[in-house]
Amino acid sequence: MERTRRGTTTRYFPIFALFFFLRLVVSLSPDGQALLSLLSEAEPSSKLSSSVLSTWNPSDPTPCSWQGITCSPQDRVISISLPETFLNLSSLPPQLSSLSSIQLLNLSSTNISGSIPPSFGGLTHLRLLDLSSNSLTGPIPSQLGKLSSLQFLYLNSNKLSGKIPQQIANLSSLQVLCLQDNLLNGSVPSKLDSLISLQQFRIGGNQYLTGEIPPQIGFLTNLTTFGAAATGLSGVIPPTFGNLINLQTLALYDTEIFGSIPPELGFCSELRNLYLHMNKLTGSIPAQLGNLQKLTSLLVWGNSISGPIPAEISNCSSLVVLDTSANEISGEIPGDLGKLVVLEQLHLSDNALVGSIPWQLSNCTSLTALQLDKNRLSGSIPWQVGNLKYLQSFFLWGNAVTGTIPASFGNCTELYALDLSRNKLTGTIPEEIFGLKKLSKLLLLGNSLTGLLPKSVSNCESLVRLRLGENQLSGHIPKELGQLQNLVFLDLYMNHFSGSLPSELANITVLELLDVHNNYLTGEIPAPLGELVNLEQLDLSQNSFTGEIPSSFGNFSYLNKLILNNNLLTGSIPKSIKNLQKLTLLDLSFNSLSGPIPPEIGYVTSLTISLDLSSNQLTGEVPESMSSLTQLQALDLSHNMLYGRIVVLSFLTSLTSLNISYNNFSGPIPITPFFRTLSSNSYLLNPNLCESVDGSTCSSGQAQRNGLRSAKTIALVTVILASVTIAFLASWILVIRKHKYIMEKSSSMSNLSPGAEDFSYPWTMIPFRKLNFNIENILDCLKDENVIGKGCSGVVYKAEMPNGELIAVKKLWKAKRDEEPIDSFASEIQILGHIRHRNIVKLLGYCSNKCVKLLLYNYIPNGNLQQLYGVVLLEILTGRSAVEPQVGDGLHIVEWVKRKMGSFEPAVSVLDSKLQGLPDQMVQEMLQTLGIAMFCVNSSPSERPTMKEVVALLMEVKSSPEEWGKTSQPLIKPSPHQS
Amino acid sequence: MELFARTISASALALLCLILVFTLFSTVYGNSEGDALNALKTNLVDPNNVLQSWDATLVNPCTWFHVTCNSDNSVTRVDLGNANLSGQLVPQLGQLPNLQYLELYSNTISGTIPSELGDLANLVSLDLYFNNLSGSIPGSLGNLQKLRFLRLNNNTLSGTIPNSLTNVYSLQVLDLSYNHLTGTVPVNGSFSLFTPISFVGNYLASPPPSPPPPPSPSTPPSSS
Repeated sequence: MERTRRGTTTRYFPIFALFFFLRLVVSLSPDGQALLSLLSEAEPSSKLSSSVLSTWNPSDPTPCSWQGITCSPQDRVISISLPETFLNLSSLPPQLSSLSSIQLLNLSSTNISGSIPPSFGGLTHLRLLDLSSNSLTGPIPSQLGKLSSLQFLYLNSNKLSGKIPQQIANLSSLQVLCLQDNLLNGSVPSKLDSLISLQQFRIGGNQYLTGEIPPQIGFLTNLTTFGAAATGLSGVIPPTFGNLINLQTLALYDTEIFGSIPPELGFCSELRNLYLHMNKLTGSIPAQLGNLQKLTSLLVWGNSISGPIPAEISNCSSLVVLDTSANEISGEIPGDLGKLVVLEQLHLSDNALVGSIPWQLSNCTSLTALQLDKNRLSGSIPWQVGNLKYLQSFFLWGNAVTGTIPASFGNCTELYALDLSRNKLTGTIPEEIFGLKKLSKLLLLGNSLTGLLPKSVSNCESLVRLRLGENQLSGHIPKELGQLQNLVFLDLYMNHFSGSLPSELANITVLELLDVHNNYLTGEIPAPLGELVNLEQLDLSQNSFTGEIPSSFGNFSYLNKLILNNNLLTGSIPKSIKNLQKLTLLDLSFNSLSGPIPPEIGYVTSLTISLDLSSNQLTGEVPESMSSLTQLQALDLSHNMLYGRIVVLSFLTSLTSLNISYNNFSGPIPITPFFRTLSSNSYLLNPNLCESVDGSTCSSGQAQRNGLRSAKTIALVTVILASVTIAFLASWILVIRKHKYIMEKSSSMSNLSPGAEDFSYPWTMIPFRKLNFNIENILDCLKDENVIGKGCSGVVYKAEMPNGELIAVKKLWKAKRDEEPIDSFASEIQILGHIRHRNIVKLLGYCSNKCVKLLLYNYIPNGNLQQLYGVVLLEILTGRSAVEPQVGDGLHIVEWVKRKMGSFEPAVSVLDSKLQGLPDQMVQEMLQTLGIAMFCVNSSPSERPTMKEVVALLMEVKSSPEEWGKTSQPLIKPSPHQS
Repeated sequence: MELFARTISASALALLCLILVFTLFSTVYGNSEGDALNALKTNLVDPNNVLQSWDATLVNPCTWFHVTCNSDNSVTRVDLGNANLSGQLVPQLGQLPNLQYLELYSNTISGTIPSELGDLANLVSLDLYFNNLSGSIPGSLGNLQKLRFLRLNNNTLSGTIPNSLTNVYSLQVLDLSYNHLTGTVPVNGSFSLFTPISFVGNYLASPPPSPPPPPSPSTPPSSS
């Protein structure tokens, strides 16, 4: 038709010339004009590249010859079908609404954005509208509800938002309604009675859809598919769904639905796919599902379903996949499941199944995957498992299965993954398993397997993961392992392997993990291991390896963790270590390594997790280069013979844990925030380390090496200090003893709380380090408002010194008649003054006059005060002093209580004997308080509660006011501002 | 899950079955920590296969590379800095009760920071810097009472700095620089330690005032 017309124009050229322009603009039919709107916005280049659109010639009189277009005999466009054509439009042209005859409009996957024009509601002849897989936004126009002829509506896979318009439910001809994978919200329209023809109803993948599933859907009896997965729909599965006798697929996974699975689903006799996984379903699996003869997939995993697996399920003779994993299903596995001869996948993992594995499962000869892990199965693995010729994966880990591993696994020739870890399997690993040509993962971790690892392991060349750790395998590690050229993971840890580590392992070039820790391996570490250049993790720890660390280990350019601790390694740390540029953790502790720490270690800047060189015989200084390890988080150099200054450690700004104790380090301790948080046991037994104010010089006393010019001076000063101290103590003891009788006589007076007159006697102050305050400063602070605790040996004050320094001052109670105050005082100062222990607050010095004794302690806000508080609390509860001279054990109270509580004596025995006889409830409260005190004296300051938390804890110690009234000596003042 | 739905729309139900099966394989249950990390793995794109060793069928994730456990086989560290990972973080990360170090810096991870990270009561270090993270900083991070290092710099995080972070007194290093944060910088609590350098490169209302003098060596416990 078009050709004849063109012929006419060429023949009558003048006429053509006359009408040329008119023809271009006018002669294309209005439908054609409307279609051109699909081109107008597109980039010319994209149009040219589209072979479809190249046929769209605007000079044609009608679009009827254009590709993708179909016309009626009257040349009206009745169909546009351009799926997967790159139109690239920023909106759907409203002009399309003028195509009043159109019946079929398919623009799926054409890269259109913008919204759906409401005017499309005027296309009343439309039978199919497919705008799926675009980037359409905005709402679904309610006007679409006027498309009374519409049978197929595909708006899925866009970005449509808003609610599903109720008017859609007017489309009585609709067979397919696909709205899935949009951003629709609101609830599903419940008036659906007009949708009697509907076969597919899909609204899944709209995560903002909420509300319940309308029970009315159950009356759309032509439905074959209902999908509402991955939505926010909640409520129960309507029992009305039992009416859906044509339903083949019910996809309701990953929603908020709850309640039980309605037994009525058993009437959906056409049901093939029942996807109810990842919901909040409870109740049990209804036995009625056994009626579903056509059911192929039953997925209910990831719910909270309980009860047993109904034996009736075995009537679902078409079942291919049964997955009830991750529920709370109990009871035994029904042996009747053996009737499911087409079953390929049985997933019962992560439930509470008990009993044995029924041998009948071996009748499910189509099984490819049998996953029973994480249950409470017992008994042994039936030998008939060998009948499962198609079995590819068998997971049984995390049960309590006993007996031996059946040799018949050797018949499961398709098996590629076998995981029997964490059971109670005994006996040997049957050699038949290593005859499996496809086995790539063999995991038998955590059983009680014994015997040898057979040499025939080398037959199983497909092995990628061989993980046999935590058993009692013995004998030598077979050198034949070296033939497993695909092995990536080799775990033999925590067994009883002895002998040497075969150097043939070096042939496994793809090996990434070698873990043989905690065996009885001896001999040298084979140097060829360095050829394992793909190794990421190497753990040879807790064996008896001797000799040196091979310098070939420097070849491990991918090595992430190198763990060699607890061996008998000697020699020095190889300098090749600097090539380990991926190393994050290095543990060489508990060996006999000697020589210096090689400066090359500073090049391993990847060291982030931990560097542990402790308990060796390393000498020399910490190399300056280690200042580059700025990402290192844990460093342990303790128990070596290292010396020199530790300034370099102040550059390790990521440290959260440091131990340099038991060395000979000297000089000032850095003053970075991290070092301020460290407890002194990190430095313990480095006698020449000193506290510092500026980080470069020592600030005090005996360890002030840098400030003093010569050893002579040190000696002189020491002698003078010592003699002054001794002289003072001696004279003081004499004075106190002389006054003892007088004090006894006036005991009534001395038991009164000390008044101001007590302070008026002349004072002596003995500092244990240079103190920037004097006795007057201290006395000014001994006011009631500064009291931070009371113990049986004294009152503790917080005292702020003129320079802002805070100290804690403990004022000892005045002597009682039957005690030797001087002994108590002397023993406390003797012990506390010299010990730097994590549980003991550092004593700064002491002051005394004729009547009053004051102990001065460090007051450090990050925990020490709490600890101090804890000590005071312990003193109250136990009736002991912080250090008890009478007992003679010299134990600090914290250690004493810990020891008591760790013993088999009743907890009550810790309490002051005077308190033990009190009413039971009070004793209980005191024990609770004791617990709080022990919190406060936790060895790690960071673990100690804040005072705020202590208050909260003390408030938890319940006590009625009447109970308080029964004691004359309240343990803790109950008012909240206290403590 | 949306992928499923699309597959159905292609009416390829057989294919759907295959995909389902495949997905089930990838959601086999390890212990809960393994599950949590496996969820992370499935949400991350891993072109360099650094997560290859994360085998969900293993009894616990302690032998996975880049995962470190304590002696009780509980995860203490996840070290995946500079691993060329993209994709999103998952809320399941909050289910690692002993996690101390979450090191995911210098990747191209997008999406939001799950508020569930605030459940990680033992977290010492949260390093998410140099990624494409968006959304706001979850206020729940203020629950992390052991946190010492919080580095979220060089992302596209928006919203305000949650005041709850000022309660994290353990905080030693804070870097929120180069994000799209708005509002003001808190100056109280733990934030009194930090200088403007921690906040530079944001849309914060005004540069934070110069830090007050270091706090007096103690916050006196009310009276103890």
